[in-house]
Amino acid sequence: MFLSDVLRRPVVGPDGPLGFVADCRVAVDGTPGQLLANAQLVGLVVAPRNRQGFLGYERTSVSSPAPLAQWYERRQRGSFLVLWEDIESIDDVVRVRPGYTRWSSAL
Amino acid sequence: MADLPKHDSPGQVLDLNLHILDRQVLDNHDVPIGHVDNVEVDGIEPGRELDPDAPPVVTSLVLNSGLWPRMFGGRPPRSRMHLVPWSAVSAIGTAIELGQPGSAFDVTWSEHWIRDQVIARIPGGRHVPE
Repeated sequence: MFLSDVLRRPVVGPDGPLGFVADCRVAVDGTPGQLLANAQLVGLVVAPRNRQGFLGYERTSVSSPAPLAQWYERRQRGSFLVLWEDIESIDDVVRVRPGYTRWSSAL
Repeated sequence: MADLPKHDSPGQVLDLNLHILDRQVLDNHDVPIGHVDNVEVDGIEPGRELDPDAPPVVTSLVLNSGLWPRMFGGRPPRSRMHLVPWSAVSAIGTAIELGQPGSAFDVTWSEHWIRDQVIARIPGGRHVPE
């Protein structure tokens, strides 16, 4: 599967829609490879609105220029990280298991 | 965002859309060979229940295959994609660095063709400028 197949897919939880896939978080900590270790999927960053983020303002500590940082952080407010073990299936929609945990989407 | 708990993962943590897509790719001589248009992930079967203990793994970066699909939609067949295996990636920063020369990847075939069929036929085109 390609990343473009997952991005911007709607995410549905046990109680209804949660938002849209804004990003896929990976950790380069898997089986050591020839140069870099494998990159394993940690989870999906879910944004409540289907808006494109910009330069990760909402996920990093970058706060300048302040008007831009506040604008883009506000556009993506409410986004969160869902870990891989809490994801039930990925098809036309991404389904999240009951009892999932919302983690901060901050890097 | 501030009131949610923060998940700490070991190793270098990357958001694929933020840190990988559209980044320039450099070979081991710092020569740009393209940019990342997509990322192939192994371990996700659409529609099937996912195994929580087997997280997907990034297998390949797709280079320079995005212009026509962005204009007209769709996707080229996998055989027409320029895939660079993740095992060839040596570092990720503002650019993605590979541990092999660009000639090792099909993505530079057009440059090789121009070099062999056009530049080489120009007088003086077969050696380094003095």
